[in-house]
Amino acid sequence: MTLLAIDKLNLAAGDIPLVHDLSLSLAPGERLGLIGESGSGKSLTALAAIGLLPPAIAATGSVTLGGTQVIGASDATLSRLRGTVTATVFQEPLTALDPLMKIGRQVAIPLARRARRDGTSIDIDREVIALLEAVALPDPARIARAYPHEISGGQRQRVAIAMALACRPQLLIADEPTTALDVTTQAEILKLLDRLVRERNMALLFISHDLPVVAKIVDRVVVLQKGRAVEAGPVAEVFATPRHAYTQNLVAAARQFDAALEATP
Amino acid sequence: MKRPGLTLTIGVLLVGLHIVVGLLTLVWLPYDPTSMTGGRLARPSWEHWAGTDRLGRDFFTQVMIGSRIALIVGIGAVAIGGVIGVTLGILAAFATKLLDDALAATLDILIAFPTLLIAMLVVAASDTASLFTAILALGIALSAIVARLTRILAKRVLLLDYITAARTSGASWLAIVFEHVLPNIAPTLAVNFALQFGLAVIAEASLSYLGLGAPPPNASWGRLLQEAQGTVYTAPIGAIAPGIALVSLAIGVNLLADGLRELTDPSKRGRA
Repeated sequence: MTLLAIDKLNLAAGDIPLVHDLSLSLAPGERLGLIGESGSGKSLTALAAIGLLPPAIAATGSVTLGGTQVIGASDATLSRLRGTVTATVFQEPLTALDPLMKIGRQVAIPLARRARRDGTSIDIDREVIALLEAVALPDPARIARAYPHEISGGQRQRVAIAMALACRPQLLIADEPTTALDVTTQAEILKLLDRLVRERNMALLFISHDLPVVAKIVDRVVVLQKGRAVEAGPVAEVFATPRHAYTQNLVAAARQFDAALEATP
Repeated sequence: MKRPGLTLTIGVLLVGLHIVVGLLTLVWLPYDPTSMTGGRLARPSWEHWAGTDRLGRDFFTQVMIGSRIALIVGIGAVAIGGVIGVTLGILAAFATKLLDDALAATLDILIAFPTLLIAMLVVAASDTASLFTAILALGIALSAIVARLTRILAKRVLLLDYITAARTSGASWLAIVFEHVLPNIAPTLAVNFALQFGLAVIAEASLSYLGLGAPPPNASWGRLLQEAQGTVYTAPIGAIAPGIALVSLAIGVNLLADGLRELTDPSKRGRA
């Protein structure tokens, strides 16, 4: 059974094609990286997967999420699907949290929604603290009472991950979750995502332009260039022997950057 | 730098004064507002603080009642304009592009007409002039401004990641409106409501001045000003007293709005 299947997906804004004939699939527990430069259609593909495309963008083809067709589905169907099958972590930790709401409540809302939909009753306060602990936040009780501007960028991103986990998704979509963070924090967040995805047996769709980051966390990659999938395969294979010129450029650029880093004392 | 506390304090004091006077008129008045025992156009004295009008009624009593009426008009008009405006604005922000464009264009056309003119049209269209028609007219006139502001503010909030995050975790539109959009636009709306309140009070005075507001037994400041017009050289207090009352409430509300704005600035709030 596949969790997410994208088949011949075409996205266009008016006459301008944005994503062309893209097909990919993701089984439960599998990790897929979607890489490419800015404007290559990575984030749009992720939005299409959960039916959150801006109204100006037209989609054709097929996207099935947990067995349900997403393209053309009603908002009610989609909102149910989104809450139970997927959750998303975004790039910018500054805007990912509601500035006027305490952290604890922001985590509590998706928790309560999930419990309501499952028809179970849970101790929300305790679950909030448990989630904040799960994302390795220090002093969860204090953080739960804090506003977003009172904690650091890395901590905010951990909270965003906790909110995503609150939905208990089968598929976690991470859209450049480490791009806005400094290198040390980046490594910590990656380690955290890696552990959580393993422990909770989630599938992961990881979107990034940063090859080394992607290589650390996923099994397979799809390389996008100008809306087309130019290369796909196991991550080690694609990075060791890139066949497409674009991938070769990406890999070479990453290696040069690494070499430059190592050359500096 | 202006001290934010001072602005708010003066605003609260001025508005508070009118609220106290307005509430006081419900239980106590210096004179019966219809009793004509003070002599025609008496000068201010210990018995009649602001003198009397042409019919010998105590003027201070009428100005006090004016406070109550101004507050009722302000609160009523803002409540009506707020409910209609916020609802329309939120609907427009969530609507499909076509509907949103249509609503936005309609609002722009409505806003192009002066508030007072719209209010006058509404009053003229209703059969009888009463305090309620004046409030309704002003509420409707203000709702266009509120709706446009709400639409823009809501649209800006809707673009932020935490809304997308909430949607990806399965939040319904209604949940997003009440959990995220309204709380985040509330501070700006509150400031705007305070400004609209001031506008409504002045507009009601203008309507009453033109004879389109509350009919005579109600001592609206606008009507007092209009009645004092003929005797402004012989008894200037008749124009000065309601004038001061009107200006003090309008300035008070504006200072209050300004103070509120500084108080609710998100970067300065909530260090709990």
